[in-house]
Amino acid sequence: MELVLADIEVVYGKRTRNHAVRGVSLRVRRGETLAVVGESGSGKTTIAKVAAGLQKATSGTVAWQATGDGGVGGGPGGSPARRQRVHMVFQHPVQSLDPSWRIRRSVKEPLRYLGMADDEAERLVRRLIAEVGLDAQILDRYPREVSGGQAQRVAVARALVADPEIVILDEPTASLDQTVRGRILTLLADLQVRTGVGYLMITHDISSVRRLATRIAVMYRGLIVESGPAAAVLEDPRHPYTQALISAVPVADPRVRWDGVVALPRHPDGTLAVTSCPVPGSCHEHGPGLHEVGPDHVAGCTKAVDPQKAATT
Amino acid sequence: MSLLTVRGLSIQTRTGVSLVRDLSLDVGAGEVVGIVGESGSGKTMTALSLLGLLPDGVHVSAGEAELEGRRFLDGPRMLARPNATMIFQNPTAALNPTMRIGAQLVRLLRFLDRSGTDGSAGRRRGDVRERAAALVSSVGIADPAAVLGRYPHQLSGGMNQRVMIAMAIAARPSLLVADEPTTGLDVTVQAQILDLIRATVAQHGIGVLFVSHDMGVIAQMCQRVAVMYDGEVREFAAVDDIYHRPGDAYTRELLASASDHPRPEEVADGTRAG
Repeated sequence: MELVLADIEVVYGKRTRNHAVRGVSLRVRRGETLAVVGESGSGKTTIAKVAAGLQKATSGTVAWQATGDGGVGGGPGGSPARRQRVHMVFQHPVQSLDPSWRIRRSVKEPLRYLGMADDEAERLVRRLIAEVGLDAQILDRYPREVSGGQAQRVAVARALVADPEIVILDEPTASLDQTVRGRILTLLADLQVRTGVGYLMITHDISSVRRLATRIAVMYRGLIVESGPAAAVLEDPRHPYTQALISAVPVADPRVRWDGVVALPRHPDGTLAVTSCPVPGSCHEHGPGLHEVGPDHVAGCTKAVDPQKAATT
Repeated sequence: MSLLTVRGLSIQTRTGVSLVRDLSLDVGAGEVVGIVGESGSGKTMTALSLLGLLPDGVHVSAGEAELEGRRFLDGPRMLARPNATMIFQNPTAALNPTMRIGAQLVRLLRFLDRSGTDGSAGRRRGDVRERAAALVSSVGIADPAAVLGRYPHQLSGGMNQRVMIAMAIAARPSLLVADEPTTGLDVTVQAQILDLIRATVAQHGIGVLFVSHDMGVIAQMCQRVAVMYDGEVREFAAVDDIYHRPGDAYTRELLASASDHPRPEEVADGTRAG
């Protein structure tokens, strides 16, 4: 089972015509993690919403490849069958739970929605709460009575309780402390091994994807500028923007000299301007497409195709 | 000699809950000293206490602090206003939302002229708007006129943090307290702000107390770092020692969580139930 987004375009505002996503295609398979990395304004959160059916695409299709249903754009909510397949974990765990509901009701809600009998649902909820490393006592608490890390474990349990094909993780660790962050990533990796769930992980922090991502897609101003196997993108980034993103992460070792990206200018809208391109304008000549730079590894930069490597292969 | 010396600092709430216990550290001139820890570890309370900015119901219960050899904090009493300024985690919220950037800077400069904290009261009659423009361009803002005419909500977080840094150095402090100054910013913007802080330290020779939860930022910004956990300093040493010869179990856990590869113990922490 595979979630396929094809040629997604999203334009916000009738008059302002803010082109948030400009022709993005990607696929998420069961058992693997696709990390979509980008900065504010890159369109990554819009892609997550489109995949979850919370945002209608202006054009393009969202489909399940094995069964072929789903249809264009999805529309708000989507069909009940669709909701069972995709679930979401949000950035702010405490806010993503209903403050007036006990944890039990929040975790059970997806099952109730599917019409499952209460005793069976209760059994499943208890199993999931144990699987995310929490004590069953937490089920009787309210969101305000649990820590951020616990709330995120609850959100993960709720996302997985109805056995979805794909879980969309929108900045799942951004609001958590560093040690808690590590444990949540370990938990997610672990649950994936056991349940075979696929993750579409949205993040601004390229360093946090190393543990979880199978594949990485880098978004920049509404476009995917590079994508490939996680190791290839992280160890051998080809697009100047990917290189800037990776080099901008401070190295957690005082012996490694780090200078960041200090000289890169910005567009008026605040996004980074990639001026380190060795052949400015060549993208327009060759079209905005992605070029193959390695096995299953593409970059939207003609110069990213290493001529020496191209000659030997 | 140290620029800032803090000895035996303890912070409590009105109801007697202890937030920080017996904290001692020092910062030299031109040095960046970090405080690293998680939410609730007391690192922000420590920073706020040095500027007399503790929230209502929270007070210093013991300890003392000196800046440039002058004692300014003695237990619950603030003896004098230290020549220190602060930048915050959310720069957009720290600026006045109802005033243009230019007006805020002009007001600050006029206040500083009047109070004469840098000993030049009344002398600097130059056009205050020109000085405001010079100040924003000194923090790497390419088009000062455009920024001065904007409101904070019209600028990005990175741009607002540059404005905050400009305001902080306008007062010519000897100590800058930075509380998570790049948390919430994009990584490329963070890199630029960190570089600006480095350049500011080098240019003005000020000391910086740098509060962060990010082990990467601390490693690259600081010469020494205090690791805080549950209100106490677990370790205070040079960054190289902390990162390569950590003496404390909590420090090792922080380092492991910041690295790319999970450490083996994590498997046994309960997350692999079943």
